[in-house]
Amino acid sequence: MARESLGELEQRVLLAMLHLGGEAYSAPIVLELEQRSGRQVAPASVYIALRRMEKRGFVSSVLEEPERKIGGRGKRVFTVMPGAIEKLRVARRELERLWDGLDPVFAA
Amino acid sequence: MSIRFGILARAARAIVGSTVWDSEAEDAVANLDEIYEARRRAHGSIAAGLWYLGQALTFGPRLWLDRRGRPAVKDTRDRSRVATWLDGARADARFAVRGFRKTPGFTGAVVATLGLAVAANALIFAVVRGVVLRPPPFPEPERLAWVWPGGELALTHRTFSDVSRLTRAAELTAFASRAYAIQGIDRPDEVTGLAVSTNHFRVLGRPPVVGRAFRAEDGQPGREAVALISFDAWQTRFGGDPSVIGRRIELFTSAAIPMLPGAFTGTPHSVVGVLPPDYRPLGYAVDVVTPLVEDPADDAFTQLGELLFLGRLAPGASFEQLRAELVSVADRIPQLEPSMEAIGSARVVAFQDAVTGPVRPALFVTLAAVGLVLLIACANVASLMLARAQGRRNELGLRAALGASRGRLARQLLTECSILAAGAGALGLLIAGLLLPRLVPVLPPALGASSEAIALDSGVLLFVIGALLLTLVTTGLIPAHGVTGGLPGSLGGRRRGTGGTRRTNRALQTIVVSELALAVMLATGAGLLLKSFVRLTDVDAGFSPRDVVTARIAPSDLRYADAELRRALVRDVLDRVRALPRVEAAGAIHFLPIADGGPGINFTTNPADPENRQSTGYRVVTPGYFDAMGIPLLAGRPLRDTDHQGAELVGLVNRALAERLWPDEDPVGKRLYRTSGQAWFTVVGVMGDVRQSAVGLPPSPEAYLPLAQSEWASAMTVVVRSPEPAVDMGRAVEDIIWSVDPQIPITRSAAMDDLVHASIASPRFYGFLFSAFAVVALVLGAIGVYGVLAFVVRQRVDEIGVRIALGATRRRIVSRELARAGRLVALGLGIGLAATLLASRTLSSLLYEVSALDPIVFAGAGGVLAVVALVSALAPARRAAGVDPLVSIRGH
Repeated sequence: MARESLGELEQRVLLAMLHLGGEAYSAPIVLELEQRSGRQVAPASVYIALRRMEKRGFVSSVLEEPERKIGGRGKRVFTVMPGAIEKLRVARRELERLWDGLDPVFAA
Repeated sequence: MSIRFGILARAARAIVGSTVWDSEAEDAVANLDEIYEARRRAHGSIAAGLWYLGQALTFGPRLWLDRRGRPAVKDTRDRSRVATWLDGARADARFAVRGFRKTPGFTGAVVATLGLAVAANALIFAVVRGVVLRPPPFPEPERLAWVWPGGELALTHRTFSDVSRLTRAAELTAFASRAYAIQGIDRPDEVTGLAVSTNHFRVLGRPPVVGRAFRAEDGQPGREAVALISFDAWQTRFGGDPSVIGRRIELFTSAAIPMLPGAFTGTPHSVVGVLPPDYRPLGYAVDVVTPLVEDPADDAFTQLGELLFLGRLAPGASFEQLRAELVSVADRIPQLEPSMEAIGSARVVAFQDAVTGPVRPALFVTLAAVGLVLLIACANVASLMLARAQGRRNELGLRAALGASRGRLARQLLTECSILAAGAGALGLLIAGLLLPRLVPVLPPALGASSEAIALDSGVLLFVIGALLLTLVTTGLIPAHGVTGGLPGSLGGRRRGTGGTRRTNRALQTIVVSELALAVMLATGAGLLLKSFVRLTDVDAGFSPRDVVTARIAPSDLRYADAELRRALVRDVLDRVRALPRVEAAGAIHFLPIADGGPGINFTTNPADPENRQSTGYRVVTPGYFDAMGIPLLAGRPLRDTDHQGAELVGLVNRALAERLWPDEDPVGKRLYRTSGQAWFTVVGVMGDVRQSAVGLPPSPEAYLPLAQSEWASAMTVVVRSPEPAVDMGRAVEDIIWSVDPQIPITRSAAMDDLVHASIASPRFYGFLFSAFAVVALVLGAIGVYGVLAFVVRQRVDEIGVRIALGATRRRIVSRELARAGRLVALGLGIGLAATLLASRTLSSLLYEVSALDPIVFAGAGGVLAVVALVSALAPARRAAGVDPLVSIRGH
């Protein structure tokens, strides 16, 4: 394990994957992120985030069989691993502790 | 699901396929396809295709960057095509660099030749870009237009107000250029100024960077006088202090608008703002901007003759609509003022065209010329490469025999060229970067070049890359073609026969011929420009500028409210100057020849006849002026101190005016009636013609009136003739002026020689620039001829040896080789001179009294080139004659 905590993009990718049922290839993740954030997301950055998380064991992947038609291509399907869910929980708790007691600041 | 791909998407897929590792490419393309399809449905295929292309270009590199630092993938099957290609290129590059190390002379020659040419091109292009190609720093400049009132009639400020109210197609704004003097830190300085309508900044679209723009009330009479100062002035005079707003500066108007009593409005002004740093609406930097004041009591309001008009088109309007509307507006306004005719025939010109139009031809011709230099350098490098490649036939042949394809060998040669070109580009940009700060100050002032506009920016970089690609195509592909085409036979033996090199020879000869043709074009252009420049320096301007110093003084009308006070001031200064040792003559004039423009007056020889009304240039002078300038008196008497107020009104005419009015009579004693002053004056003398406005323009008719009898009440230039060094004399004159009144601004202090010199800065600049190009072209051409002939001789050593063995004399061998060179030279000169005949007309706007087809220049340029080329052919020819037949035959 190279790093303990998750980067922001990594968290977002994981959350998008969980919205998609915990298992997805990169295109739906990109579209999900774009839909939820309202901003464009570069596929390459999602791709890189997935690759890094796979190295660290947060996601695992299998190469799917190509579709049975001319030009069908095999896609890599990623699955969220239990370790990642634990990391997400930690990240959320950290953030919530930081937010605690700041409601008056944001009330106005 | 089947996806429809547009051409953009297909290109993008290909890019992803070739830039991403093979094992990942399939997945990447599949996912990108899917996102593309979602986007295509939402935004259309063009937007989605562009998105795909953008992603494709970054996808591979981003993955690659992310992967860097991890151990390289060793399995070659897992490499993308690009990566494999890059590996090959790296090997080629290593090999090429080893080769260059072994031949430092060749490498140095190529890099230096190309580097110098690139540097010259980068510099000239930077100037062209900075002066001509850069859009003006105003929003939507394409909607800005100049309006030039037509005809002889000037548009007054009052008429303008009516016109601009009625014009719908554009918001119009008026302005006039003004020369101001500003009270400096230790002495008054001259600055350039503009007086503008209060809507000026709204029309241009650039507000001041500090403070406020003018408000409508600033243009009302009786308000506090306000001014905006330039960014430069703010930095240099006020240290960039924001508290400058509200400060008062003393502004003295000097004679920008002559003969208008109201134009002289020296008063303290409050600074209300600071102009943007690149504010140059007329193409040159402006130091002070004041509002045009709508004061009907002010003659400037009703008579202003120097107004310029600028308009910003309303949305959807065109220049043509604006012009048509001005015509109809002119018709609609009752013809109260004749100047409405002027607006009715106004011309409307795009802003940018007007600012850069006059300098554009010269700059583009220069760019073309420097492009020729680059082509010549390319030709030279190509011949060097070709000769080198020819020398490597055995090496290349061996590689071909070991299985290298022709494409692979061509790639090797191209790689070598790319490395050389990159080196040359780096060297060129380095040289250009070092020279640029030196170049900008010597550019002719007419270009209005500023150091911030002329820079080696991304545009110049792109241009250099383009130029280098051109050199790559010419220097890399031609030799590659010449050599790889002749490969198969090259392994057969060493230097056998001459046939194998025929193709190379032909390529080399083509190169030399085109090089000579280009060089002769440049030499002819340089010759024409230099001849024109020499003509200009030889012009007899009608006065002798040597040993003359001048100082222009602009007395404030607050302290010199009375005209008599001003006359006394000039008299006082002149008396003290004349008392200086070694002063031969001193006088004063209101508009100095060459340096100042020229005002005009209306006069008539018969006031009863309205048809008789004429106009002429005129100058207000003091006695002593003509002696100081060395202008000869042709008839009658000069002005005297006794020609003062109260005495008979007198004047002088120049020869041109005398010949126009009284071609067959003696002008002395004739009388002229000034319509503005409503008074007769008597012509007492005839002066020699003087080229007043420019050395290159013929003299026009002029009258001279004595200051003592004139109402002229503004700036005067003191003119002093003395053999003392101009610097010392100039300082002495300044000291005298300030000893009379320490607060008088001296708005210009210069030796007459320098003023004349500066006025022909443009022809001098272009002449010497072209000469530099021509010299470079000549040297490169000579090297080219030498190199090619030396190569040919080396190839023919066997043949020459046999000839000598069979009894050919050395003389015969030399003349044979010279004849070979002569044929090439003749062909090159012929083509070059013919091309010059066609192209030289583009130079004619830069020439003064020299025909663009001047036969002497053509013959001279051709002759010089022929001699240089043949001389450089001599050495290889003699070497041919020195071939030892025994050695060359034993070689077999």
